[in-house]
Formats: sequence, C-alpha cells, structure tokens
Amino acid sequence: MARRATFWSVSRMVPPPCMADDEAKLTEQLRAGDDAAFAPLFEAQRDRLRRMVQFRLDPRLFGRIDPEDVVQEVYLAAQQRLYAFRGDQHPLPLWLRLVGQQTLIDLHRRHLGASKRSAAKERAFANSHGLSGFIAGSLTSPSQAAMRDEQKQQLTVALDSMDEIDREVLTLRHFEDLTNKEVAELLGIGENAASNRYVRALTRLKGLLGGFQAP
Amino acid sequence: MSDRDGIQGESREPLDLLAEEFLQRVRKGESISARQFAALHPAHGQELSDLLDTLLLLENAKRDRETSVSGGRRLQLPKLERLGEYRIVREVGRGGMGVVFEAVQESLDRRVALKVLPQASLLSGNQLERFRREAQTAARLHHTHIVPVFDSGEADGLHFYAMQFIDGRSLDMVVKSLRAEPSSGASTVLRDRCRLAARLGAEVADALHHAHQQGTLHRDVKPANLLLDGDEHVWVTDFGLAKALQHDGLTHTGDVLGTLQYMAPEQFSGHYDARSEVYALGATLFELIALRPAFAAESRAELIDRIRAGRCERLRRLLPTIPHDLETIVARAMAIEPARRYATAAEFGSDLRAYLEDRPIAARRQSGLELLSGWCRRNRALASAGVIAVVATVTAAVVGWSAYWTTREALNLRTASERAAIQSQQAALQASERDRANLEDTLEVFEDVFDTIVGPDPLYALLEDAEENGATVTALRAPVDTNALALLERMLDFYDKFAERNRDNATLRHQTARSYARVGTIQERLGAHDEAVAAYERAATLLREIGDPEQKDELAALLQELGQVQVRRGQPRVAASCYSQSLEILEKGAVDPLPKVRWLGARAHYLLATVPGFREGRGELMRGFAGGPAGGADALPRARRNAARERRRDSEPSLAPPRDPLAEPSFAQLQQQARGHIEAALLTLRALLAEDQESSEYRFLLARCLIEQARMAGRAEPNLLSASMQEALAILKQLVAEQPKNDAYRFELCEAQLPPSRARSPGGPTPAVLEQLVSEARTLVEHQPLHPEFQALLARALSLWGSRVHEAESQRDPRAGLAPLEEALALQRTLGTDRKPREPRFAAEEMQTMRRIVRVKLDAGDVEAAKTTARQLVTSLIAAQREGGGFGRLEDRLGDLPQLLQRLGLSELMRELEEAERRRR
Repeated sequence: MARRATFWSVSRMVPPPCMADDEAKLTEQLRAGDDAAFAPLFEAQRDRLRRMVQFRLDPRLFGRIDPEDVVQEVYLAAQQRLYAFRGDQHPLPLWLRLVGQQTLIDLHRRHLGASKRSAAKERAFANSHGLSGFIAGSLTSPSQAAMRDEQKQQLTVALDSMDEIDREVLTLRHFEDLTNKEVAELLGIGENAASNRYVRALTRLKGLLGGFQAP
Repeated sequence: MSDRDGIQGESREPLDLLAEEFLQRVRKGESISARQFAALHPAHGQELSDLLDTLLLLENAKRDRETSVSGGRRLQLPKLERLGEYRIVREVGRGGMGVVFEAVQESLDRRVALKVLPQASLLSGNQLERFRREAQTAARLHHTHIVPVFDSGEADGLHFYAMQFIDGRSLDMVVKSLRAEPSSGASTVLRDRCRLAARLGAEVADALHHAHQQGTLHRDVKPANLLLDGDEHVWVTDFGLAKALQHDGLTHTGDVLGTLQYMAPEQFSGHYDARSEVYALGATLFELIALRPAFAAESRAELIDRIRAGRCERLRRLLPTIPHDLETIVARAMAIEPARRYATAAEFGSDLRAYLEDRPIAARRQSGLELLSGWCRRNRALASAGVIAVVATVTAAVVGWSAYWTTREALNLRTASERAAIQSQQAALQASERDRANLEDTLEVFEDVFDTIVGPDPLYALLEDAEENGATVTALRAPVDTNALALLERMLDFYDKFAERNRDNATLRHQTARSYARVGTIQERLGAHDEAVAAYERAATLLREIGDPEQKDELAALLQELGQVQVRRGQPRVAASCYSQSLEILEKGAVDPLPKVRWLGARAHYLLATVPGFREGRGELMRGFAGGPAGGADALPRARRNAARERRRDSEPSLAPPRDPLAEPSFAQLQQQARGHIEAALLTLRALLAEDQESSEYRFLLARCLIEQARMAGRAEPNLLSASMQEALAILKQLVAEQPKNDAYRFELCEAQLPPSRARSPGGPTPAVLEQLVSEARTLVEHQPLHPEFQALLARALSLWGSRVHEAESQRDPRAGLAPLEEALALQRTLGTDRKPREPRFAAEEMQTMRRIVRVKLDAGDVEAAKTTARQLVTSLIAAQREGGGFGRLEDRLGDLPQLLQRLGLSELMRELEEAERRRR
C-alpha cells in the first residue's frame, strides 16, 4: 500500500509526517531489539534508497529491473540482518545505504555475470565511477537528447576527470541527497572537511566546465 | 533534508550552506534563478552565481535519471475514477506518452484503452494541435494489425484518446518473459521463436506499409508499441504519437532508452522515412529472436556510436543455429545505409513470408568482400586505396599499436633519464591510443570476414556453444573459391603479423594465440598443411604458457583441430597423440564438467577411434605411441573409466588383461581400444542428450559414433552392426528432415550407407540403393561443385554402383557398369592432387576404381586395355606403399587383384607387389 501511495504522491503534497523525534525514538527501540520499529524507519529512508539505486544501477539493467524492486530487496536483506545493525556504529540511514550497496553488487553480479568485467564494475561502483554511465545514460527524448548531448558530454567528461573523492562527494550530496553530516560520516572525515571538500569539488567542476552555462 | 544538521553553520563552508539553501528552494518548486539568489548574497558575488549554475546542471542530470530509470514518475495524475464519458476500470500501464487505463465507454458500453496525457498545462498550444491532428490521422488508419483509435478529446483538463482495448501483452513484455524461460536456448524453442518472429514481423510490416501508403509514419516502432493478444494476433499501436509529443520534454521517460535501441542510424542526422521504420522493425525482430537488444552498450553515447557504425551483435554468434535466411533478412532490414535496406515495409514482409514458406528470399548475405567494403565506407579515409591498401593500413595499425605497448611499458620504468628519453614518444603514444580503438574494430571486422569466407572458426565456434559445431565434426571443409583465396592470403598476412608482433606481449597473448589459430585454419584451407601445423602448434604453446584454466578447453579444441590436420598430412600417430592430449586436458580436474567440455571429450574419443589405421589395427602405425605418457595404451581402461563415470557407477574391473606397457599393441588390442573410445563417446553423448534432446550437435556426433561402431562390429557382430546402423540412419534422416538445407547432414547420410572404401565389402547395398545414393551425391555436388568431399562421395558411389551393376549384369552385358566406373575414375584422378603430398585416401579410392575397371574390361574381352590399367594400378600401389599410404592388410587392399592379374597373365606384377610390401616391413 505504501508503495502505491508514493507512486501517486505529488511533489507539492506534504511528505508523510516522520518527525525527527519519532525517528530517534524508533531507532532507539530498534537498537534495543524491537524489530517492529524497523518498518516505519525504513519507510522514511525509502526515497533516498531508491535514488541511490537509480544512480548506481548499471545502465544495462535499465528496463529490466525496477529500482523499486531493488529497494524492496534491500528491505528484506536489512530486516534479516538487523542483528548486524545492532552491533554497528553507523546511524540507520548509512547502515541501510551499505546494505543497499551490497544488494546492488549482488544484483549486478547475478545479472551481469561474475566476469572480470563486472568485477571491474564493482570496483567502479565503490568509487562512484558509475557517474559517467549515469549522466550519459540519462535520457530525455531522442530529439532532446541530441540537443542536450553536448551538455551531457561536457558534464560527463568533467566528472570523469575529477578526483575520486571529489566525484564521490558530489555524487553523495547531489545524486543521493545525503546531508553534509552523513557524507562526513561515510567518508570518515570531519564535517568541516566534508563541507570544504564539497565546495571545492563544486568549484573545480565549475572550472572544468569552463564558461558553460546551465540552461 | 538538512534540518538535522544544517544549523551547525560554524562547521560548514558558507558557500556550502548557501548552495544547500538554494537547492532546497529549487527542489520545493520555487521559481528562483541562480542569479536572483546570488543577488541576495552580494558578498559572494559572481562566484556564487557560477557555482549555482553548476549545481543546477547536476540537479538536472539527476532529474533526467530519475525519470529515465523509473519511467513516468513525473507523470502526476490525480487518482482517476472517470474521465468524460469513460469509467476507469484500472491502470494498465505507463509509457512515454502517458498513463494507459482500461476503461468503459458508457454510452456504447464498450471496453476501451484510454491513454491519458499529462496535464494540459504542460502542453503548449502547438503541441495540443499536433496531438489532435495525429490522433485524427491515426483514427483514419484501418488495418487488421493496427489498433483502431475511436476517439480523442479533453476532459477535466486532461487530454486523452480512446482506442480498442487489446487484451494482451506488448512484445517487450513477451521478450522479457521468454528470456526468463530456462529452455529459451533449446533448438526447437528457437525454431518456434524464429517462426513466430517472422510471422509477427510480416504482419507488422503489412500494417506499416498500409500506413506508409496513406502518408503516415509511425515514428516509434519498437517492441513496446506492438501488442500481442490472446489469439497471438499482433497489433501496432501509438501511430504518430512520438512525433506529436516530441520536444518540450513530454517524452521524458524511461522507455526512451529503449526507443534509442530501435532508432535507425540516419535518424541521428535528422533523416527519417519509411525505411527507418523498416530498420526499427528489423531491430525489433532481432530482439524477439535473440531475446536481447541488437546493440549492447554501457552508455548512451556508446549506444549511439554503435548504432551509427552498425556495430550490432551478430545474430549467428548469439544463436549459432538460427536459420540463415532469417538472419539475412534481419541483417538486410538493419543495414546502415537506407538504400541497402528493403525499400518498403511490404518488401520486408514478403521476404519474411518467403522464409516462412521456405521459398528463396530476395535478400542476399553479405559476402566477405561486401563486409570489407562496408568497413571501408565507414572508414572513408582508407577506402580509396582499395582492399589491399586497407589490409596494409590495418597491418600498420597493428604495428603502431604494438609500438604503443612498448612505449607504455617503457613509461613504467623508474629512472628520470629513461623517462626523458621516452617523452618524445608521448605524442606517438596518443596516436596509438586511437590505433588501439581502430584495431579493436578491425579485429572485429576481420573476424566477420573470416567467418564469412572460412565459415565459423571451427575452434572458437565450438567453444562458444556446442550447438554450433555442425560442420566442424565432419571432415567437411568448405572449399575456398579463388576470389576468397586472395582475401584469405591477405588476412593471413594480417593475423600472421599480429601474432608475430605481439608474441611477447602479455596483454595480447590470448589474442595472439587466437590469431595463430586462425592462421592455422587459413593455411589449412589454402592447402598448406605444414604451415597450418606450425601455426596451430604456436597457438597451443601460447595457450599452454598462459595456462589459464578457463582456456583449457580452448587448448583441447585446438589440439583436436591440429590432430585433424596431422591426419591429412598422413601422420595418424601424431594425430592420435594430439587427441590423447586433448582428452587428458579435458579430463583433468573437472569434477562436474560443463556440457561443452563433455562434448569435446566425446569428440576426442570419437576422433581417437577413427584415426586411420586404428580401426584396421595396423600396429606399426601406433608404434611408440602405445607407451607414451599420453599414449593410447591406457585408452581403453580410461575410456571404460569415463564410461563408468557417465553411468554414475563405480569403476568396474578392467577387462583388458595386464600387459607390458612397452609391448607393441596387437591388432586385437588396438581394435579393442578403438571400441573403448567409441563406447566412451557414446555414453557421454547419450548422457548429454538426456539433458538436451534437441541438440542437433549431440545427435549428429552420436550418429557418427554409431556408424563407426557399426563398421567396427562388421560381419563378426551382425546384430550390433544393424542396430547401430539403423539408429544412426534414423538420427541422420531426422536431422536432414529438420534442416534440409544442411549439406553436412545429407553428406553423412549418404556416407553412412556406402561401405568404407578401404575394406573388402561383400554384401552391402544393392544396385538400386546405390543408384539412389549416386543421385543424392550428384545433388550435393551440384550444390557445391568445388567441394572435394562431395566429389569424393559421388565418385565412390559411382564406383561401387558400377561394380555392383557389373556383378549383377555381366552375363547379359559384359561391359555393364563401365560407364559409372569411368566417370568415377575421371573424378578421382583429380581429387586431392592440389595438395602435396596427396592424402592417401584419395589415392586408395582411385586404385580401387582402377581395379574394378580392370575386371570389367577383362570380362568384356578387352585384354590389352585391362593390362594397361592393371600396370598403372600396380605402379600406383607400389608408389603408395613407398609413401606409407594404403592402410590395412595387403590382401584387404588388393581385393580380387591377384586373381585378376593371374587371369591377365601378369603374375609377375603380383610378385613385384609382394616384394615391395616385404621391403616396406
């Protein structure tokens, strides 16, 4: 049912009330061993997980795999491994993201085969190399595609030529909607450093794009 | 999103905080431009504004992705219960153009599919106009395979159109579910799928042609727009809508990536006509047959590149058993240049029908030269100089690329002085990067050319899928015509250089090994057996050096090819050793070997059993071989062990008595070994067939093993002889019935019914049967006039027929049978003479016919002519003995020659023969 609702929800609609207080309380319950707290907490993360899947999914699987189904798989995987969460330092959103990453790796392996090629892909995955595929794979209409091609191309090339860590910061902040704090935690650096990194990455990207103007 | 930590300003960059604020406002839907926002924070000036532009770019990229992956998420519709006079029943799907509902038109109480477009506010006035116009045009199309459009209009601010509700699935869903079926690769399933694809394709082509004649283009032909209803009736839907809604982001959804797959190359440069739809339908059929898209690409840019260059997957490579005609038709429809496609959808449809009805098709397969010239067209800079120049250029590219590797490796060296020395080569290095890309393309094209001229590379064909190996099991080597010969020699040059240049390059080793293997195959086709052996041996050495366990079956297959060349060179012992090594490699380590490994194993056993001289038990041929490490001495116990493993039984005690491993194998022992091999091959094949009954490959090899078994059984075991032979013939007849155009099956069927030429064969087929075989063989020769095996078969059939006719009718007409015998001899005189040394079997068959002619001439009272032929025959026999040819025991080879010589008063010739035989021993 919940899936249905998100499907029809309109962006102007108020998101389901999931107060930070509730979340903290529920997380506490979950850590304490109350599995029932997991479902509402997961719901709050669903959109972000879906975005991560959308971004990290190999373009070859477009149309074959519905990101929503992957998120469902993440749910099941996480539910079965709640014991691991209880022994984990990460906050729930980041822990879920890690479970999601693993789910995606398994999925890629299953669908694309465990060839050397996909092993390379998995490595790429870990450092957000998928970005090129992501940008290049993002399509509008065929006619529009032609118009936007150049712009995309530039963005792709620019991102590709960046440091891994710069690219990852931009990825996490923009494509996965992680907060600065979460990025800091994930990369194991301070918040200030993360924020620095972000602005620096953005500035570099701007530089790489030259005088190119956004539409 | 940042509510939880956005306030902790002191730990964040001010620009970061501003960026975040701006992003949040944009995401909430506020219409604020980067400039406006930046103006609110003048302290940061232009810098902020620029950053925000970059940020928006990223944000756009994300939005595109979300819509492209999830399809239709941005099509926001309020929950609908009715629309105008339509009562909505349920949502049935979302596509690029909107949401589709099943609905009931209440005034007429009819079930309709209602396609609802996004809110009208998103459509410009022009677009709406275009949409209405296209809907009207579509409504005017009446065709049994076009979904009728009933109505279009607007209600509650939503635009919609109503069409007949088709209770079924779109072809993309059909493909998806077919792909999920585990048996999708089995050959009958493929056959059915090919026929289905052809039928649907023909019907859709009709529908498109109908529309084209009305001046309407569909503009978005793809599986998702073809519906298959419960009666397997296909419907084309969404005529013209792509055009109506293009621009302004309305077709913003996930299926665009799909659409791109079916776009004709010329569309990227703005051309579109009926032939583009022929292309799109071709790409659709490709996917329906192969169950995967025609182009495999990891990114959009790569996909477009591939489409424009026409670098699609090869159907035959994906599905080795796909009917040739269908492959050709699809390839023609998908030609890069519109002019090379079917000019109209109707022509496309009619060729598909021709395939379905087994009539000749209009499309022709591209020859190797056409492929090459196609490549030239795509590489215009090279094209003007012609094929030879192309090859030369390609070779240069290879050389350049090798230089690149050398440079690269050199760059890895540490010292500064070395680095400085190398710096001047950097520019060359960059050029080499381009060469590398070119080279990859080139290798691909050359593989195509190679496949086209030589037939699928036997070595790699059989590695990719056991299904593929029809022609490779047989001795059937397609002859090389003179035009192709020149090209082959050029390719040889290419592969040779490639292999030579890159011999020590670790990265390229595997590619190099393959190149050597190809050199071997080409040399063999050119008749240069020694060179072929050398090339195959280098390939084998390289593969051994690489030592990759994943390539061990490649090595095993290579050794089998090498063995077959050795047989042709008259080196059966070496051949047997190759086969044994191959077997050993295949057996090593594999606990649960893959079907292809088991198949290769069966093939190795079969080849071992049929090494010339083995079956005849000619011991001296096997001298030295018996005791070797990979020798045949333990072949029987090993064969039995394998056989036992196939039966999943514990090993049984070996039936062979213990013996001195260095002793010369006896006649009986060799025969027993051969039987052991056949037994092992049969068991493996039967086990494989239990897993896949459809495989024509397994069945074909099984039939060949059975024929071998029957021949070994001979007169000593008439029951086994007839049982095996009958089963073999039944299998072959079935195969011929399934694939009437496969000459290899027809050949084998004829072959099986002819007793082997080397043995004395009393009894055997009647003249009537032989006459039938002669006519079958003539058909084969007419089919491929230059094929030496076909000619040899015809000659043997003629010779035996003539001999039998003579036996039956010499009382009435002493010259009976002479005509076919002379025809046979005329053929046999030339067979195999283009290669030195000539293969012994050709000489043996020629001599047999000569002997028969002596007999007929003698019976006819033409003593002088008989004497002349007899002298020639004896001379040939002695020559053959000197060369070590002529297998089997002397008396077997001579047949009734001693009696004939006696009758002719030429007994001294007999003594010469015996003398020669003594010397040889």
